[in-house]
Amino acid sequence: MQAEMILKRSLFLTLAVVLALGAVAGDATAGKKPWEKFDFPELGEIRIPDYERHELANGLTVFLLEDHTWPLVEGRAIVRTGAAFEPDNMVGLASVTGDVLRTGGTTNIGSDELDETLERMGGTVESWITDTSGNLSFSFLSQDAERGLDLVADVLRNPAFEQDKIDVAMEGQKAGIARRNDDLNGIVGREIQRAVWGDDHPYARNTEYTTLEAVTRDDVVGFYEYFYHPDNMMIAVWGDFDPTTMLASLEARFGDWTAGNVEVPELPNEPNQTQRRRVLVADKTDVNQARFAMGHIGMRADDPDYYSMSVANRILGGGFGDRLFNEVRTNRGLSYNVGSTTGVGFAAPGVFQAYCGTKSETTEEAIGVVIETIEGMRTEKVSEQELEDAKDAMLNSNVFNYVRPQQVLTRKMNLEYLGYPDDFLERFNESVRAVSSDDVIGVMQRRVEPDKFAIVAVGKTEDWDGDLTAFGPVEELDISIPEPEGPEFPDPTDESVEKGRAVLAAAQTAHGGAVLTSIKSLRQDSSLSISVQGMTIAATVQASTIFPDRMSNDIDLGAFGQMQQVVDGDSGFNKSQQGIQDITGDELAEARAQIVEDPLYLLGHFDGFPVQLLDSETVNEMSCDVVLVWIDDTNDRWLKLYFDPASHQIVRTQQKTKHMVTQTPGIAHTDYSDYRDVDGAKAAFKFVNYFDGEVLIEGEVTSLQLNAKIDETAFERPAS
Amino acid sequence: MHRSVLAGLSFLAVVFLCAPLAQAQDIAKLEDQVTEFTLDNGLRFIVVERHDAPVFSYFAQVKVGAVNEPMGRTGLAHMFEHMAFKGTDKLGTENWGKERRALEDVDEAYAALAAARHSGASDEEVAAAQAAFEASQDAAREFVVTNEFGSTVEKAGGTALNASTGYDLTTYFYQLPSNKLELWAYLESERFQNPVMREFYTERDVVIEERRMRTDSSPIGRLLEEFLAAAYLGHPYGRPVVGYRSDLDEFTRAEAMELYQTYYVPSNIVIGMAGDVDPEEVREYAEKYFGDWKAGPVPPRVRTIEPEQRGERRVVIRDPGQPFLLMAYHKPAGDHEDSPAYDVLTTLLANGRSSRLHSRLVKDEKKAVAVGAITQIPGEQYPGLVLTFVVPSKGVGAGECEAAVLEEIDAIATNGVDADELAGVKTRMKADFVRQARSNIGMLRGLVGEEVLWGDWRAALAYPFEIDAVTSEDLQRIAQETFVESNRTVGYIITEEEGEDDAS
Repeated sequence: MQAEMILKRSLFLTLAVVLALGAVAGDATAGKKPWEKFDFPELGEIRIPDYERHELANGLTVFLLEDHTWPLVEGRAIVRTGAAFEPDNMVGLASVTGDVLRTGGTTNIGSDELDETLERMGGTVESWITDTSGNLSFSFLSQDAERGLDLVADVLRNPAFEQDKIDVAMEGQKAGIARRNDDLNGIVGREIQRAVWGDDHPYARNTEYTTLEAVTRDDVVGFYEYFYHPDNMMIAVWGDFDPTTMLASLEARFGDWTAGNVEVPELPNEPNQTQRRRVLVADKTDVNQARFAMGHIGMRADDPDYYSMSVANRILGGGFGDRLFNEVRTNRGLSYNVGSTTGVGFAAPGVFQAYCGTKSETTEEAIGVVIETIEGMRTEKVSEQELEDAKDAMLNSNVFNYVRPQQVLTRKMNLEYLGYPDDFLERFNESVRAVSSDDVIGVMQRRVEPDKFAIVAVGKTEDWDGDLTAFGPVEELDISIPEPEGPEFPDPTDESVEKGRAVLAAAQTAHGGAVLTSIKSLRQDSSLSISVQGMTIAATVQASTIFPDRMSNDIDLGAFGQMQQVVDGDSGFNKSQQGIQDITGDELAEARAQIVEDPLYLLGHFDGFPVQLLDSETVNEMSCDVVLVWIDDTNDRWLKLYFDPASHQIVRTQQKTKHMVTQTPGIAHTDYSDYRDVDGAKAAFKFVNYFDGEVLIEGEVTSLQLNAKIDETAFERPAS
Repeated sequence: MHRSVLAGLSFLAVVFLCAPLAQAQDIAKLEDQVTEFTLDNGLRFIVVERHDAPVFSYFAQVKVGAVNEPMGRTGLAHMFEHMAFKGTDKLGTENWGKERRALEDVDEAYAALAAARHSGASDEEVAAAQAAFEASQDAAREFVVTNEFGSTVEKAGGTALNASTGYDLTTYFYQLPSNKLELWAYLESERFQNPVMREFYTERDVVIEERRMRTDSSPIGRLLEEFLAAAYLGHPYGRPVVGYRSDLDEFTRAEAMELYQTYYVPSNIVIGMAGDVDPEEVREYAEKYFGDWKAGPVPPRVRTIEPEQRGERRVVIRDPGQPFLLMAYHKPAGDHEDSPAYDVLTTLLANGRSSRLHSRLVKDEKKAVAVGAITQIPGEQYPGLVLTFVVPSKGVGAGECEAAVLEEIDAIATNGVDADELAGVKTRMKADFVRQARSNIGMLRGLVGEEVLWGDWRAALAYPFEIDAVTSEDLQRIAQETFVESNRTVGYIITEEEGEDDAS
């Protein structure tokens, strides 16, 4: 057992910030403005209070900070996880998991009771997962600290993820999707990320109705169980407590939580696409203002250019009276909200961007001014005055990062979580001080490249003062929200059920009546032409079927070998050159369904299945009666049958399936023709099978025999 | 000069010895931190001493807002707030003498342009007047040191520099390292006493952009503007703070100055400071920099009293935006003795996961993804509205949520509230009070707000006790009085693509 490590860090930092404003000794007041003549006292010393860092035996890292100013005990946990790790077809999984961790109750206390308990004690516990981390925050009155910590531990260790609360979270997500185009700022903020990282990049991909559909409770639980382990998280607690007692409290609640040895994937910090000039325009007609953003990938804060970039952005668009504010807003009155961001991120690189909202009629003009202003900083060095002013602003305001003790604590925890150097915070002032005007123009030239900007603009384009082609090739941005698939079929009614049965009854008669209802077996030989992956394969099939659940097919694929497929009630096997493999589970159910779906059997036995008449559809220029038959409604397996209204013969069948080679889901349909009489029944001797509209198999029946005697050896499993 | 320093309210500890929150000690401690004084000219200062970090927050409120604007000048208070960042006769100019003359030229050119527009002059004449106006602005701009006020604050380490205008009040705030106290005194005294309306017409364009952003281009902004207008027939609470576009288009510098001269008088302003400051030092700087500011006449009061609503009002907007529901009822002004009860009522009704509406609409019926209630909107100086809002789930319309809201409101009116639930709500509100008081700005917001509106900053600290005193009978009574159909205004967004036919 690992010994508990106690690291006590004492940081006494004196951040005596020397003031640049008129603090130089001597007759420096000459020529100065009135407010520049003040003699300010030295900035007060900032003492970073002691905090403790511990690691429990199971790897949980704990930070503690004692502060009796207010009767509160608060904290923050950070977990190594993120939406970046959710599967591509389940965007939204992490968000839902983060939410429902808190809202879904625990195995000890139901969700509604947890909500009430917390609110009635005036305490809060909140949980959320971002692209790059899992988070939990809590706040309790100190008198409730012990009970509060019980609840925090329970939520972290024993979340119940009640299905009902997953449903509530899903409603929230769906409403978020439905509302995501209501607000210009939201649209542009989202689309610039997609434009820079790539539409499908984990940091930019959209949550869609279909990705939410794919998320089940099992997935949520699985996501939590993968990442939420004590050795994969850190927790900071601050407030009105004694650290020794608090450590014991945390040990009591978390100490016996087994480590998980989680393998956390790397963060996907590279964009999916080359950064290049693009102009992306989306039309939104219910606004009289346009909003645009332009930018490209930025950097992480451990990039050597971080400090120069911060100073440069301060001058460009990061404060009151920065260049963008002055040029676009104050001088020209073009905008209320204009500025730029550094593009610096801590976990992942950010996106450098300049943004602006302006009336429709000045969209093109404003974009031009913004680009010009950025270029200005790349072609000409900033003045020494501007540089000093920006650095003063940053250095003098740095004190505000140290106002609340927990600010430093949570920052330290975050920086450790991300692997930054221990003295990252402490380095800030001297690093900023060292930035020169050469550095500023250098970083603007190297790291802010308008030629590589994606420009995203959204608004009522018909009112714009230009089509933006002046800035590059313009692409139309489709921001329409893909609707969820509606229910596939209308609910059955008494009428549609009755009519469906009537159509089937007529078809039964037309195809042979009693012959179908009494059919026992059949033998059918066919020759096929299979089109797959650019090849055409000729094959023959000898099929022996004993209804309802036994079949034996011999398939000869010529050069591709021979196969045998056997289904015998509750078991089955495939035999091929690769050997013999059992058919089980879903595959077996599929094969058995195919037996039942043979028209000669189905038309004679449709009483056992739910059916309904659907709207008529046109097939090969004929308006057909369409009947839906649920082969197995527990697993969503249905078959649509299309009938010639005059002859009542089956013209087509359609169902959901997976491509025989690629296994991607799609819609298959089979068209039938060349009906001939066989043993008193009408059977189609020609069939063409399509997958998603593309021809897959063309087939001809070479011989067909109803109620043939089929030897039991056909179902015997060979030795090898 | 009048100054009062509070002695600790330790007697309260006796009264509330059994209070589970040790509330009285916290309140006494808070009150100990506060010093208040008033200059001879009527300017009030509230200083909260907290030496945890070498910074201070500044938070001042002027008792002027949209409620004071006459028809035809909506948005003027907000316009002036923007102008308060433009500097003074010393700050923001390279040569005040020349600039002042240039600004007078701008006024003349503008008047000529306005006359040309409204007198039916020919297009050429209007175009010429427009060109002359723009030229006069360019000439005046030559003397401007752009945004010198804001840059000076930020250069000194200032953060969170901003201001806001509401219906009752205009608020100015920022934070500075505490060694810059004298700079603060200089800047704010200058700003309040010698504002110059430079770059006025360009800034007017900026305000129009703000209107486009917050109202014109926002579905909820659009609904809210219609909604407030419906809730108020005559009282100025029904008009938008940002102003109507046609009013904005007609503003002049002189009108903005008139508003300033009428309302920005010392007795109408309360200045709050919280942080690493010595009240004595603040007082010395206050005397030095603000002492010569001449007292002004008491500003005019708002005469119109909103008549009692006679029947339910509905606003329905068919909009490309997603559905939204607003429901509001008239209530007394913020100084009414029932105000704390209304706060408790809204918390219980719609704020928090265990609130009535969240439990029912979000958790049980899943018809909404968010709900909330606001005790007093749009202002509290005059009788306002208690408002509930609902964000419906995808595929659910505002109408489908309305019935549930009415039923839950009715339930309170009919059955009152059980003791456990009420106790829980109170505990939550009192804990939130502690959290708010903990932040410098949070503390100032409470103290300065109470002082500027009601002349009683101590009321902010008495709040937790007032909450404690609310009974279930109080809630039931005010629910019965307030939540009646004839007192109700309802607003919907019904989602409809532009060009669609009217649907039911």
